[in-house]
Amino acid sequence: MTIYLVSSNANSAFACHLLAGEIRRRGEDCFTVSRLEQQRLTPYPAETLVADVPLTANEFLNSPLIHQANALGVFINAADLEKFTTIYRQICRQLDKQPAPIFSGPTFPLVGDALVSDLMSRQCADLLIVHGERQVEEAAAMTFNWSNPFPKVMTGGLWFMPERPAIGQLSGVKTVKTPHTLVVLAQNSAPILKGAKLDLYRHLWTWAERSPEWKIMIQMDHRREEPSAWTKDERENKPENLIFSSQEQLLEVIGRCSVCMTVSSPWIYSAMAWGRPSVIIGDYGIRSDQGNQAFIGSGSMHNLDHFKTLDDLLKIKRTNSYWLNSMGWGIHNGPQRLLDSLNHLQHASS
Amino acid sequence: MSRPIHLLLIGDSDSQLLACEALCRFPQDQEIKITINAIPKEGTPDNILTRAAALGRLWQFKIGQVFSHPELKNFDAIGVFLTGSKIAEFRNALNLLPYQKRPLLFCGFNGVVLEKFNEGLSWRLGYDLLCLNGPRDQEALDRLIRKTPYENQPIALTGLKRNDVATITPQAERPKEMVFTEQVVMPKSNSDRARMVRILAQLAQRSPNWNILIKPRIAPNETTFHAFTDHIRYTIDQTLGHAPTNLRIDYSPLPELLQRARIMATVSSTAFFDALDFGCRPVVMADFGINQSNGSHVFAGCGVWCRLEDIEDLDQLDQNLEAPSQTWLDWMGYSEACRPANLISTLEACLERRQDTPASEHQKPIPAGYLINSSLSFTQLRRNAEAAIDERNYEEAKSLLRLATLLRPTHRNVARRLRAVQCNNRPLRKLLLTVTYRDVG
Repeated sequence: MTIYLVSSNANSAFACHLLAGEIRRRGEDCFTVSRLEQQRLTPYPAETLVADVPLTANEFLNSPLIHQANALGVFINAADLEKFTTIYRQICRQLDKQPAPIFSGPTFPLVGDALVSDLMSRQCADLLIVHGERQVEEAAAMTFNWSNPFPKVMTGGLWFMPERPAIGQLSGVKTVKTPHTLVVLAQNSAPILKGAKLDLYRHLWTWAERSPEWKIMIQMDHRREEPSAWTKDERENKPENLIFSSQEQLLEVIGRCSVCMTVSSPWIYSAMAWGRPSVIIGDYGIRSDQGNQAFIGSGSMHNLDHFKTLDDLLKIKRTNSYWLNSMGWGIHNGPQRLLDSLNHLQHASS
Repeated sequence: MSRPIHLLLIGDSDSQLLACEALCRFPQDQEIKITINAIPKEGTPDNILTRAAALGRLWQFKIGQVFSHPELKNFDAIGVFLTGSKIAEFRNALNLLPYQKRPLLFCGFNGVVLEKFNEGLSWRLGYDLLCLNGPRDQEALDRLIRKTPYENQPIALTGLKRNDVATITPQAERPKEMVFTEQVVMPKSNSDRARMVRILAQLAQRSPNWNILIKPRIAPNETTFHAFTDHIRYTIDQTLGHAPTNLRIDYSPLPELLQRARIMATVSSTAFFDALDFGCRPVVMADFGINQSNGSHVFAGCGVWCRLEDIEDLDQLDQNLEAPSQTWLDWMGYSEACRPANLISTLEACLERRQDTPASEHQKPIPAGYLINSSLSFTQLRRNAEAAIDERNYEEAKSLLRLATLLRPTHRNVARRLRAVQCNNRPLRKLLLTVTYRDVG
């Protein structure tokens, strides 16, 4: 089977890079397709964003390579997906060729309104890959009793991230090593309340002063703009142990941390899955537009005021394992499940 | 329980009061004493208050007056039908009152929940009892709280059957009328709303022997919790100029229209279920496709999903229109299994359980790691209030600031901010908000 994975931003390009590796390990041909305008200063190593086929989705539609595909994984903006599939199927009709099945899905785990919105935009695909049983259940509820056909929805696990941290970073439960590092996954879009980013920054500042033996690393989970969208005066007079970490090494930083913290960055799933104490900052409320409703049952949502010093963070309970498994961590053979589903689709269409 | 149950139901908007009314269809064999408190609000239609008064006793106190009312502690249970933050505010405030045993608290959702269910639950979790419509909501709640400390949250499925109708007019005796129940924000965009009006006008033209009655969600002088720009009558004027003579707006009460008309069409209104109560056959307008922003994804499985643009005329629809899918109706909560009697039986069970529990255990602390909106801290409430002020959502800001004053009654800036947002004089409010502003992060 020859599979092309098309992506249009750094998040989906990185996820496709990982998925392509897993598919190749299972003996199938798999190629990534993307041409990102910016490959530097993202959270991911630049080399992982270099695609096998450096074309945009639209350019790929015009390339003869697309007709070699037995399956197409299209992880572009949900809004652009329908256009892509319509044009691709139209071209195949014109050329009297059987279109390859198209699979798609959100890069990161979603729940509630966000999941409904995403899946509705992707219903033109032949197969939808979501993360865990929670998403499959929600999709089933969304389509309850529908007479309109809806693509099969399958679980692929947390396929956007490596299953394990880098070599040497695996650590058992209760073996958080000193000196300690708190990694704060900083987002562009959250917290959304006016002044809240600055408030969070002040909180980190206070902690840094109170716990000089700790290092606090603020790691952007998005491409870092200059000057940063996060704070305007990030480098002036701050404590030495409060650091804005370099880009292109997000997973390395998470793998090394003692505690990981965020408002709603999906990369907290990596910290949780790798057994790092994790905190979802609940101080700014649970809001649909803040993307943190998915974490309601995680057991990791706290008020920062509960932690006077950073050592207090080491006492928190681990993430609710039932919740984490239902969000995708319980599925460890996602790529194989994907291949099985694609084979099934091919047999059904032939 | 042999003695009567005393219930207080609190609502602040027309739709919340209608939800209270729908809930009050309790079994005759159980004596329930009902008091409705309609929080005074500009724009609440008089007929809604009249209907509320008919249910028992009508109070019209502001929320602060309710708390100081000497009879408050005598109620067995209080149903709070307000928006999210106000629901949390009410619970926190009631817990501060020096009662040995406070009344049980319950709340619910108003009609079919189309969006923001998880966010809504985050304000409601921890109430003594949650009313849900049916299995659809129950499953969604279960997905959210499974294997968490909230797993045993008591619920009652109270259903979507909201009207007891003594006599249903047979279809053959009804005039050829189709009621279209308009919703203020579904669809939302002006272009979609214009298209909706055009589709109805063309259908009216193709069906000259029928009348199409557009029932506006609200009269032009009324308010609802949704922000909207143009009343439907302006959309009709702007889109059609002169509407066909058999297409018109009708402000008659919805029950009256549903009692009479043969067909009711909607995009995603809870009135779908009211139509069934009155023997009016519902149809869902599928012309905008399955679209989350219209709430139509919730109705796509109803079995009467129909593109009005595609039908020949209303005679054809009248002839071919089938009953909604029973499987879907059961799942949504329109069934005998989901009814207000479930609220009473669950309340009785809760009251009996509580008799054996010391008062100190009635208020359980929020488990570590399982934060919800109703447990927001003082600073968080201030921040959210400031965000609401930024969005000019002064009602929300008032509620959040009142909640903050409950936590810190002596905090001067919060008291000043609250007085500022409570000011109805717009220029003065603006001035007060400017002079009382403090950066809260």
